[in-house]
Amino acid sequence: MTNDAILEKVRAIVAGVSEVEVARVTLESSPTNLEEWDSLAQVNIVLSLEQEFGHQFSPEQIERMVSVEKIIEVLTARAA
Amino acid sequence: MPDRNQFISAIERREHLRALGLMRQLFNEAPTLASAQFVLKQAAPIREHLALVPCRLAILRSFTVEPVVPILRALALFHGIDLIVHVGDFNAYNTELLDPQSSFYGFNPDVVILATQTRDVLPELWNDSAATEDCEALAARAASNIEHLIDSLRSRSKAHLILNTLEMPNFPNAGILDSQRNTGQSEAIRNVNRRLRETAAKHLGVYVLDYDALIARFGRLNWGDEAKWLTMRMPLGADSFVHLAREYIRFLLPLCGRTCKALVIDLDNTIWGGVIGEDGLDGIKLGAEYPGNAYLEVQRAILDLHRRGIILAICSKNNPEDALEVFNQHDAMLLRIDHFAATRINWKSKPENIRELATELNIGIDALAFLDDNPLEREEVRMLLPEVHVIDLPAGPAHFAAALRSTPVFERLALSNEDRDRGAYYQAERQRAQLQATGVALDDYYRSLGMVVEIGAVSSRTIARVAQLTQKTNQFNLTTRRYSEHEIASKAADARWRVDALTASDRFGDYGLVGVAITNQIDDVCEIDSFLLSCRVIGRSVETALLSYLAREAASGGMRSIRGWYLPTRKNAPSKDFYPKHGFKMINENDGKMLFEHDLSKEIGWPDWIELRTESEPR
Repeated sequence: MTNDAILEKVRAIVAGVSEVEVARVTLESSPTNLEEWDSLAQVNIVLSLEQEFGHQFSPEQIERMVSVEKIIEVLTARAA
Repeated sequence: MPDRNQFISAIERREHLRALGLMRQLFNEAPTLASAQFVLKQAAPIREHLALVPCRLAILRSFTVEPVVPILRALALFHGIDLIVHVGDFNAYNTELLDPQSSFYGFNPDVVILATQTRDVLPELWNDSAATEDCEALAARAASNIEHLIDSLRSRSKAHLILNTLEMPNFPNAGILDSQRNTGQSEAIRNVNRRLRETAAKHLGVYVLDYDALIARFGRLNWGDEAKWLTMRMPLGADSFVHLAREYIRFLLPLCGRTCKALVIDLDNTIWGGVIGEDGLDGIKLGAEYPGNAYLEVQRAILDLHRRGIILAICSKNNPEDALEVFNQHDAMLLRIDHFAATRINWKSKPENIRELATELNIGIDALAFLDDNPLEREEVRMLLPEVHVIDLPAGPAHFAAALRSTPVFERLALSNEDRDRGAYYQAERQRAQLQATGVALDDYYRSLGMVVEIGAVSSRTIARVAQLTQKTNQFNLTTRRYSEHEIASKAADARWRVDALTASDRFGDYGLVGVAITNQIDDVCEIDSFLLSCRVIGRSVETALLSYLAREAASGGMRSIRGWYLPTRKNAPSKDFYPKHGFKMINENDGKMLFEHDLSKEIGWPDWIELRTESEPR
């Protein structure tokens, strides 16, 4: 999967879970600048990513996933 | 395989049920949280066209359950339920249940699920079994806490309550030593669960969800996810939420009256391997060796549904004599032809046959489920009869039985004698039909049945069936008011109210408890709150007998008149003319709702071919 494809999937999941338009979710989005991304949305984002990418995250990975950019870092590092 | 375009075009054609069916298929192919969210979003604009039954569900919990909510709402939607969910505060279920001012009581739920896990309910048992007190004392304490919560709920709400059993640890603290003694962690948990079940059984409308068995079914080591528990306080893995939602649905369908009454089955390659018309009696696969044993398992699963009161019917493309030969001649067959209430063995299309079966059995098309190995037949039924619950089957027969057993539409929360005897009832019904077909006059036909009815106040013995009838009866039901056992019990205890139950039998067999009348005395008027009859006895003038009885009882109680509403629904047109046919006058009409009244100085005639027997058993 290309990095662009991963970005699009992550944006779709974050937007779907937080119930906002995909256009509002960017590489820089995080719980600090996207109000709808609260702690419950975080749980659902992690679960949805696991189902979408068929990967179970380690505690260390979960703790690093605090923005779209960081999520993509974790996902690409997993593939490598 | 459905795609999203197919589904969008179904919406454009305004085929809303078809669109819902496609959404269900899409979700089942990828049952994830994201799919559930997609379904809910897409369904939002068509919800109003789906005739959904509303249900207010409160989930009180000791752990993070939120991801289950969208999945549960999507699954409920597939079964015609508009689920409104309230999730209680984190681990606050005790105070929420005990405090009458809590937002939980403000929500006014129909159903309450208490989602708890062992580590929260009995942390001392989970974390430190060495310090565990006596098992029995611990179980007694846990049971008394639950008892306390149930009492508090019951004093403020009529909601149904679903309790979780406590789950076992993956690895007991004492290792294999735990199984060697009867004071170990596992034994203590089993004790608590036994007490929990006993406590639930003492209360109406309180049910147990075997959470430990659910976890075991999908694999204890796969259920939880320690990484998410330690980082986000979330004990379940992503897929477990789907399993949990499906288990909740098993309870919600019978609670919302969204179950199926009958199973329509195909024959070739569904209950035996091969095609009887081509392979012959010796060629079909049925017996001890694979694949014959897989088909035996399917037959066992079907028989279990029969015992649960599910009506069975056959819909098969075959020459009838070929198919019947298997039932009559094949040694390995477990199903007999007399297990089936109706059969359509011919070369017509399945949707056409299924429609006829619904008419013959006198039940709605949405009360039918359909089992067929052939994906094309399933697709045709899905397209043309989207109301039918089509059971998804995997490719090979090895997993057919499991697919049938896991279908939630056959779940029942209580089993009445009528459920158990339904098979015998349909056999008698066929003999009655044969008698009627001989062409006797209607009165003579009635007389020849030798109908006997018994009418009496509801009792502890009959209350489950009475509540069940109010929840399930659609056609001959004047007001379609649905009552729980608990509500029936409180009406029966109120001096101004009467709850009468009618049982019937004739020379061909027992109909069981088939009629309910609930009346309310307002000054000198007897108001009929509910009047309903199971479709089994419609058209045999039993309804006249019950009405005549009510009028006589009201008159002897000094009342001046009897009145009742007809409240129209999508299904109760057959009862529309009931009151006027018995001489009632309409005194009010509003938006299709009609209020009828009858002066009690005139009797309502008792059909003289029906014998009234007073109760033989004490209440």
